[in-house]
Amino acid sequence: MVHQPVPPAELPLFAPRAFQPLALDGALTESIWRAAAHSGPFADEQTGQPAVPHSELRLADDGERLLLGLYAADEDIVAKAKQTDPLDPADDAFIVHIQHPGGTAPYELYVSANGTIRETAAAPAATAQHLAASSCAVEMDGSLNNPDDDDEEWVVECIVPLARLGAHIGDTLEFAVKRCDTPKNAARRCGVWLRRVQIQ
Amino acid sequence: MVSHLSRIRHGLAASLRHFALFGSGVCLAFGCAQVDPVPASATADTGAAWTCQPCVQRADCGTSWCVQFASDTYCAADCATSACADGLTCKLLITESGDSVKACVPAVETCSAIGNLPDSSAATCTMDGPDTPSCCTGCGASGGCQTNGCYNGWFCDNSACKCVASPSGVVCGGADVTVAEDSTPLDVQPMDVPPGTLTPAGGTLPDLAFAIVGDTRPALIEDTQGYPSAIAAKIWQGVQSAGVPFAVTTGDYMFASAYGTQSAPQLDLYLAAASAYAGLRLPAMGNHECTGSTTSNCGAGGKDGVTKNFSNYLAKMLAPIGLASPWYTFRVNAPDNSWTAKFVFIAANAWNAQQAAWLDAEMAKPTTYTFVVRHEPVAANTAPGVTPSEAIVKKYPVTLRLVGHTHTYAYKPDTHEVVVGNGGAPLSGGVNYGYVLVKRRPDAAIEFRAVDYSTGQVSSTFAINADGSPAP
Repeated sequence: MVHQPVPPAELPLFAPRAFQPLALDGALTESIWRAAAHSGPFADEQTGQPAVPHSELRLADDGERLLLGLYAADEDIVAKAKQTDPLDPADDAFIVHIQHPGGTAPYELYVSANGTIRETAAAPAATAQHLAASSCAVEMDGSLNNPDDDDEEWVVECIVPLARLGAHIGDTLEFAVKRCDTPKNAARRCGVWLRRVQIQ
Repeated sequence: MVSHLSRIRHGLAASLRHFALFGSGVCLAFGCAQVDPVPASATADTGAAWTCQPCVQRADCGTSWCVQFASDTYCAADCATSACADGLTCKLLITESGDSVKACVPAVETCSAIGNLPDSSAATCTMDGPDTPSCCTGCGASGGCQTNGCYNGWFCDNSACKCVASPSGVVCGGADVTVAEDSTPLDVQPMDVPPGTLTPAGGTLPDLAFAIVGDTRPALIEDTQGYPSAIAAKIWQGVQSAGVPFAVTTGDYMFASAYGTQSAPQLDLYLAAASAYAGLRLPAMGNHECTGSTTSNCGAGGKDGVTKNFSNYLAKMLAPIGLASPWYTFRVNAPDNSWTAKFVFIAANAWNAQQAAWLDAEMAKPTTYTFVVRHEPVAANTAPGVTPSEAIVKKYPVTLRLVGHTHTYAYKPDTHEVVVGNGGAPLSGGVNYGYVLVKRRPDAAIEFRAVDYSTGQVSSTFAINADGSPAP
């Protein structure tokens, strides 16, 4: 008899707890990143097959904050908009969308390859303004905005206060993470990852 | 068949939401099946008994070690100075942080199940596939076996306490999925090259034929559990089936901290996978064999000195074939010297004046065919040795540059190079994992055939003459 498993997207992943402080440097060297829940490769938005260039996400928490590790293979790293600029849709970036099932508004985080960050809070605006902001660090192997050379990858390490998500330990959150890339001499394409994650 | 991703989108269209701020238009849609959560890890001391206590770090284990065992990490009592409890055996194991310790574990790599899922009493953590019960909750929190997740191409099915093939249309373990139970025979015709007399210095062959494999490493630093062993093994099985007498590898065999502990175990995994091939392997050094950064420079005179990655590369990849330097030349000739070939291995991340002088001298020696093997392509010019080595190489005839670094396969006639970097590292281009087979044709042209590792099918071919010009 062939057993038909429940599709994994219908079951939650579990984000484990980090017991040691994280050095927010973009290098996913801490042991928690090996223990973290991992997404596997993102799916191509059009085909559902593993997206190229490869992207993946790792998730953990430290009891008060969500820890995100994001990996992006990239032969041409492009990110021109700086923190004070309007976002450039051609920039290499991750968009992390998190919905608390009991909440009304989603949380969204945009982080590009040059470290530009935008975020919203799921909490009401009056509350959100008092919340600590999320922070991210980016490490890349390659050169930014130089199409004449070959790059290898960029990695993002982020800390997101659970309060910004309106979430607590034990909650299950709905994640949608997207990364788009424009390879050399090819059309822009996007990979997505959709999954529920329980914070432990 | 509608993919699972499409089914999610279609079936839950009413609940689609869009990225509010950033206008990316990605829908959110999730199923609602409920499972019991994994019990939170306790920070208990396991003592001398084996309790299958999962751990993330040593602090989780009290006075015991947090060791890598059965595809995961568990608390295990120290046995360096004391005996193990009945039923346990004292083994040399690697801790979660990479240290070697002696710890007590079961003689067979199983763990009693933890958790509240059905049939958990039968659970193990061997992750061997659908015929082996493996309730993933029992495997704890560490990366190799995540509850409801994927590992090495298998889907951890908690309802059946088994690791099963990924559901159709579901991305589970990426290309590893295609490894699982893939019995498709390779469609590469063996080249039937009779064995010649080959050593790492060179030798004679009745005809020139070889393989190229490049870039085999996990996506994340230190992620030894995520090493693409299955992909690499299948690639090397394909190379073995092709019957070529030697293979050139274009670098990057690890992703480890420069002075950490994971370079050696990752190289061991590479060598284990590559052992499927019985021929001679000739490695080029990549940036990950220095610090990982493309700009890094190791060895004498290098700004990064002798890292653990570098020293382990020398010890595990080069020393066993009698090489002491990351730059070297391999020469192979026809028995009657009707053709001669040299492979000049440049180490652009161990660049110094000595290598420059050696390169100039080697390139000056005439051969029918000259292959320049270097990890970084011409365009990856932030590597210390790329631009200066190019200045030397360009003075002499070159048949082709054999490079990697970019995680794809590509023939670039404008720069006279073939990129073979799809050996298991996270793909950056649209070509699947694979390798390249090379053979000298009767008309003396060299033919390159790119092979998709999962099907064994040739996906792309090109041919060049000895001077690098295109051949029909």
